[in-house]
Formats: sequence, structure tokens, C-alpha cells
Amino acid sequence: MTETLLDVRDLRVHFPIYSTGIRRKEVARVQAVDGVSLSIGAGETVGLVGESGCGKTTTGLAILRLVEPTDGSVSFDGDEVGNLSKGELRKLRKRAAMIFQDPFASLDPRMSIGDSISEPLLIHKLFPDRNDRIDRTCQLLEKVGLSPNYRDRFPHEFSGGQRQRVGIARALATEPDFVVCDEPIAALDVSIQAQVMNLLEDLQDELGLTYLFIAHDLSAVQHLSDRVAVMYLGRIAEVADRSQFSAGLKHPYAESLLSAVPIPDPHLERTRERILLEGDVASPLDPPPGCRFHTRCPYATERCSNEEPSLRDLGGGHQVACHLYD
Amino acid sequence: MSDPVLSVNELTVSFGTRRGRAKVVNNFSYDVGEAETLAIVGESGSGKSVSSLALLQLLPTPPARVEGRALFRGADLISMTKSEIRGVRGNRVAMIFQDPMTSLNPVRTIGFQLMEPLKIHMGMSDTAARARAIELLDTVGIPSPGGRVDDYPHQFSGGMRQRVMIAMGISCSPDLLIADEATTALDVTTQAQILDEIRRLQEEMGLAVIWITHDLGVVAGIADRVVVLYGGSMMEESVIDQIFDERRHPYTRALLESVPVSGGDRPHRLKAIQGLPPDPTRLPPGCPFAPRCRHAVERCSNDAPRLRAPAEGHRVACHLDPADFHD
Amino acid sequence: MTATSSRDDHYAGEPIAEHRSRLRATVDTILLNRLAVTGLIILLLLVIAAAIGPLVAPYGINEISIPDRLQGPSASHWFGTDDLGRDLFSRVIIGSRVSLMVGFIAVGIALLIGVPIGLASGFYGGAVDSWLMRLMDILFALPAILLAIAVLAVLGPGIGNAMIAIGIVYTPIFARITRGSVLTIKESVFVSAARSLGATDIRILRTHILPNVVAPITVQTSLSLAFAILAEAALSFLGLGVQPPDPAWGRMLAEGRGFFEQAPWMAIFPGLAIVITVMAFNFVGDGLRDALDPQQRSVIESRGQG
Repeated sequence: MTETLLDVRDLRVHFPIYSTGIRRKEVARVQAVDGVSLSIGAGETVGLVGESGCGKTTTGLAILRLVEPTDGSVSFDGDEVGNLSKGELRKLRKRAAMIFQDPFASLDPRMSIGDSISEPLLIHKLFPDRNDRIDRTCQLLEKVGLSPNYRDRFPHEFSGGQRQRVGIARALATEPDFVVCDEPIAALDVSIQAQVMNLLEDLQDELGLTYLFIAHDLSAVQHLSDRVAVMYLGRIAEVADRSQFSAGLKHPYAESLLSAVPIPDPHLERTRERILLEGDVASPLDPPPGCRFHTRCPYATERCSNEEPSLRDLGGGHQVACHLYD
Repeated sequence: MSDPVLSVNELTVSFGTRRGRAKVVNNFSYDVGEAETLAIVGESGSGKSVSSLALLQLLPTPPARVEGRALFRGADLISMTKSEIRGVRGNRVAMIFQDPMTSLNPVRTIGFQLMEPLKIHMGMSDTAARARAIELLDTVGIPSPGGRVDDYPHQFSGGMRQRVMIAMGISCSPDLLIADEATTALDVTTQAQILDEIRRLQEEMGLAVIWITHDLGVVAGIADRVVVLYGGSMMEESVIDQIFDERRHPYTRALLESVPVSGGDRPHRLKAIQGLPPDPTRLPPGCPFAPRCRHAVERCSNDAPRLRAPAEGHRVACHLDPADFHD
Repeated sequence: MTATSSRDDHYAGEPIAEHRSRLRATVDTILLNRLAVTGLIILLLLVIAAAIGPLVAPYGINEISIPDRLQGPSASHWFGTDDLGRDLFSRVIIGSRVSLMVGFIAVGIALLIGVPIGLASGFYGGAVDSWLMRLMDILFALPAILLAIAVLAVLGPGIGNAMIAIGIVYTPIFARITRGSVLTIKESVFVSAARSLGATDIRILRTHILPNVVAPITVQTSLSLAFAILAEAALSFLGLGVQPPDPAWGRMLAEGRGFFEQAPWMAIFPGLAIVITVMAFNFVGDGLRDALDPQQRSVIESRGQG
């Protein structure tokens, strides 16, 4: 296996909820991420999948310290991200970038796309000469399939897919090693999603990037990722590589998630069995004790409601957090 | 075949814009039969939502102009007066939308909102309407409906709210339910629950359903027949298996090839469709898909293909034969 | 434009909208708004009048002529004369200088204090926000004119102090508007995106937040100018602003009050001047609000097409 670029240990992000007024008291905590461990090798793509509110985006933000983790450790290329000073953190931002979900909101509407793309170059003082900076911007636009002639245009003049390309060019401007892609295709039209996925793959091949690909769409995640991690209510339920995934997911939640993904094949859809879950996801304000999934799990036993299962290696890096596999 | 519940004939919707009139829906014709689910598939700007809003006169006119006919049980919805169409909406034709939060009034209880159409359209008393409201919540799978009928929308989760919307939709036993991206905003496990619910209701009530979506997976799971829209025009129409198996139209084919499928070993590179969906104000003179079509010949960009029927119940708008597709 | 014919397979398509700069789009929308254009024309005339006032005024502002006192409007005195026989037209023209100057300087003071307070409060939040906003709330809670009178009671009457007083009164409005906009923009994804690239707080404030709060502040500025002119008129009316014999519309209104039955024009013309100016600023403010909001803009444009 290649060397580890990112190692996350027992990451927790809790958002305190304060009472209003001058003296603010903490009244509750949203346990958005509660004990996530994950490692990513250089050049690898790890998919992080889960439903809304499971904490996948917060995990991505906390890894880059765009939200402060409450607890746990994130080490990037050997450096503990939590201990970095402001200046060191800025250097990390050069090496670890982020692509955001909504291409309509992630670009400043008052900046031309050329200025948006060259902003990271200015921040990190990479091409001090203005003409060099423009050359680099043009080169980046080419790379993501946009004509450099449009660098003076504004975001509102472009379609969602084109804006997402601008977002990608911007993230890649400083030649990062690691990119967190947060739902980069969710807001795009079906026929455009494939374009952007191909672009991400091509760029990875060309630049040797490492991706954390966050999405709710299991098919897309599985298509792009070497390994997939399934999250439920702030915790990782299962981690499987491509062949383990094909052989079958083990965690009851991962299983039901996979069975719920619609497949564009009417014959399969008619015959496949669905595991329909009862009820709704519990609130991260007050997560259930024990296994967080036990309230909806068809196989739950007494033990599941008392004792929290830890991630266990079933062999070959296939990790599952479920008492059924003890 | 018995008479269709809804028969849409040459529906055309255009809007006035800065650059002249834009034809957002162009000569759209289809039928929906009893207990049938018709899926209308398209991307943004394909006209799929506009065409169904036009049916219930829910578009502001002007700037919109609606032409054509839509016979619902023999009566034309397009030419109905305001009061006639109000008697149809929510009563005999129900519609559910993508965002259940903005479709529900936040300051009224779920019960109040469920009872309203029952009292208006069916003349029920308060007690009868309340009993029916509880029954409806139970039908769409909301646990302990008697306790939840007095809750407000914000006390429900997204999936539960969409169930409430469905309950409202079916409350007056409509003949036709139009669902516009009704599960798009939901998580897949919730979506699976809702789709299951719709299938069950359809079996029980003989409901005709128009399911508008961009998601081919959902289509495969729920539809009997499929209409594929692109740039406001119908590209293909057929029964579900034919659409997915034969992939006669280059757009249908390209769309199916461009989506990743779970499972399988080493991933193949996706066959992306190049270019962008067309701007309705600048539609090309020929086939709307021609600029992005891998198989397009010169004729395609000048001459819009008419729908032809290569087989019974299968209509395709393309100059080419699948034998001409060389990949 | 040959948008569809010159398609290049190499690239992911052309822009979907025409290239029109934001400024151009804003100007276009304002020009579609008849009221805003009317307001702009009035303001332009007013500024010209204030600038070249002494050249166009047919009489000196303090040219007293007792024999001509309390004359109605006529060919020689368009707006009539006052109790000292001074030409009202000349005084209204010159009075515009005071009104505009007080308006601009007072609002300028409010902008200079209020906007930084709002920026700091909205961006840093927490205790800074709590204390600054409570202070603003206190200023806000006092009736505007009362507050201005209180400030003038401390500083003493006079035009300079009137401007300071009005400026203080309008500070919390700008602080609030700025803070509100900053709070929204601070949460927008493009700010997180800039942060993810390593941008410093100062850079984020300067390049991303400030340009995006300019629109609501611009709108508020034009509306506040109208209020500031009214406030100045009120203070001068009460004798706390411009001191005699300098002409100011509020002052002239106060003087005209005593002669309302014999010479109503003494009050009507300065009053009209106030009303028209305030309305002009309001028209422009409303027009700007619509023009700077892109969503409103498209609605207006489609309406413009019928």
C-alpha cells in the first residue's frame, strides 16, 4: 500500500447551541461528528457517503480545519493539523483544497471568474507578476475545459456545470496534493454529472491528486472511489474497498442504503429486494445510546442498545461497526 | 384499451422574454391510462415541469402562452374557466412538488390543511373531515396519526412532510396524481419508502400517476411508460422495458450510458454527453439534441425530426436508425 | 453573436448568458424605472441649482426691501416675497445648498461610524457584537428628533452641530443594515471557499464581504439622505439648526408660519422644495433597491417587455 497522506483518529465535532442574550449559556450540543477514524493513502480516492445530517460534510470541513474539531486528531502528511499556527495553517491550505457543492453559491458573484481563479495565487503569493498570473489562470481554465477567453466573465453568465469547473480550477490553482470534494455533482444536471466526474478522474491521473469524495449518491461514490466509507449519525458504519463492496456490504445500514439506491434497469428493479427502513434518523442533538442505528435496525438485539460497536477489521481492510460481526 | 384518464394533444407553452418568444414546450402529446404510471424524464430546461403546470393552469399568463388541448375525462383543462379548473385542482387532479416545506403553510396544523380540501370539495363536516384526515395519515404510513394530526409542519421530518403532501394529494380520491420531482430532495432510504407507498396506493385506488423526474433509476422502479423530453420536445415515448432495452433515441441512449451504476469491478470511464442543454430562447432549427449528438448528420441540424412509430406504442423523434449508431 | 454555429468540442460550451457588466445591468434597470429617472433628474437640477445658485438667483438672499414685503408670486418675484421683502425664489434656491450639504455630511458621518461598527459586529460576532449592538439599540430606542435635540442641547445650536447630531441619529441604521448583510454574506459558501484557500480575515472582509454589502448600504444612503434633509428642516424649524439670516428650508417654513394667512407662499414654496427633494431621494432609493437586486432585476426587465 502507498504511504498514508491523511490520518483521522477519533474525530469529534460538536456544535454547542447557546441561549440568546449577553451572557450566552450552552443549552445543547449537536453531535455532528462523533468519533470518526479514517485514513487515506496518497493518490487514493476515498468516498464518504451517507444521508443528509449524517455529518459527512462536517467531517470534510473539520479535516481541513474549516470548522474547529472538538476532539480527536487529524494528521496530514505527518503534521498534526490541530496544532498548526495560523501561518502554518495557511500553508496547509495551499496543499489541501476543497470543492464545494453548490456552484451557484461558491463563487463570489462580484468577481470575474479569472479573478476568482487567481485569488489563491495572490493569497499564497505564487505568481507575483501579473502577466504570469494571467497565464496561469488561462492554463487552469484550459485544464478544466473552459476557454481562457471567458476569464473576464462573471459567474452568473455560466451554467451550473461550467461554474463547477471554475470551482475546480480554483481549488487546483495552488497545485494541492489533497482535495476534499463536497457533493461536487449533486447540483448538476444528469448529462453534466458525467462530464464533471470524468474531469475529476482525468485531473487525478494527470496531477496525482488524493481525493476525499463526499456525496449522498452511492452510485457516483462507488464509481469514483477506491474505498467507500458509509456514515450514519456522526459515525462510520462501514469501510469497504471496491472488491469488498462488490462482494456485499455487511453493516445493516449500509446494506439497506445500497438496496434503496434506484438502479436504471427496470428488470433489476422489479426483482431486487429492498430493505425498507422504519422511521426516521434520530436527532444528532440526542443520539440514542449504544449503536446509533439500533432504533431502525431490523437485527437489533438488547446488546445494541447498550453497547457501542467499534469499527472492526474483517480482513483486508474491510471495517464494520456492528455487533453482528463480533 | 379503455379511454385514457388524461389525453394531452399538441400542448405548446411559450414565454415572452427579452429575446422574443421562447418555446419551452413544443407540440407535446401523450395519454395516461387508468392505474398507469407515466414517467416524464428530462433535465432542467426540458419543459417537463412547465408542461404539467400548464395542465392545471398554474402558469402566469402572460408571460406564458399555452396552446393545445388536454382532455381530462373528456373535458379540456386548458380552456376551462377559473372556477372550473379550481374544481379540478386538488380534487380530481392532485399535484405534489419537490419541496414539501414550502408547499405547506407553516402556521396551520397538518390536520387543518388536510381537512380544508375535504370540506371545500367534498362538503364534509368538521368531525367527518378530521376522522378522514387521521385515516389518510395512516394510509400514507405516518405512525400514531391520531396524535400527529394537530402537529405543525416543522414538527415533521422531510420524508414525513412529503407523506403529508401525498395524503393531501389523495384526500379527495383523485383520478390523477402529478408528482413533480417529489422525491428529489429526500434521502434514498426515504425515497424508497415513498415510492413504495405510491405503488401501494396506486394498486388500491387505481390512481393514474404522472411522475416527473430526472432520475432514471427512479423511473426504472416506478414507471409503466416513459416519455423523454429534451429542449421542450418529445424525443421518445414507449413502455418502460423498450426504453431501457432498445435505447432507440440517441439522447435516451447517451443519458443511460452516462450514469454510473453500482457494482461491477474496475470502473469504466463514463460516456459523458458533451456540451450543455439548450437555451429555450435559442433553440437550434433542427433537432434540439443535434448539437450534442454523437451520431448527428447534416440533416439533423436543419430539419427537426417528426415522431415516427417503429413499433406499436413506441414513438421516436430521430432521423436515424439504431443501425446507424457507431460507437 | 454566432453562439450556436461556432461550437468548439474542446470546451464545455460557451457562457449561457450575454456578457453585460453588473454596472451596465444596474444602469439599464434604473433607466427602465420612470420614477427613479424622474428622481434623478430632480436631484441633478437641485445639485446644479445649489452649485450655481448665486448666478441664477435674481436677488441677493438678504436683500431687504420693506416696500415689497409679503408680495404674492409675480413675474418679478416668482415665489413672492417674505415679511422683509426678500425674494423667496432666491432664498429657496440658495437654501438648497444648506439642505444638500447637511444631508450629505450628516449621512456621511453616519456611514463612516455605522458601517465599520456593523462590519465588526457582524463579522466577529460574539461579545463584540452583543455590546456594539446593545449600544446601537439604545440610540435606536430614542425618538430621532429627541436624540438630535439632546445632542444639540449639549453641543449648542448651529449648522455644524446639527450635522453631527443628525449623523449620530442615523448611525445605528447603517450599523444594523451592514451587520445584517454581513451576517448573511459571512455564511455564504463563497466566503467559506475563500477561507479554504487560506484567505485572511482582512482579505475576506475587503474583497468578499464589503463589495457585497455595498448594494444595501447604497439604497439606505439614498433613503437616509431624504430623512436627513427632513431632520435638518425640523431642527431649523425649531431654531436649532441654521441660524438667521441664512436661508434654510426648515427655517423659512418656521418664519412663514406666522404669516400663513396673509402670505401662504412663504410656507408653501420651501415646504414644496422639501417634499420634492425628499421624494426624489426616495424614488432613486427605491429604484436602486430594485436595480441592485438581481432577482428583482429580471422581473422588472420581463415586465418592461410586456
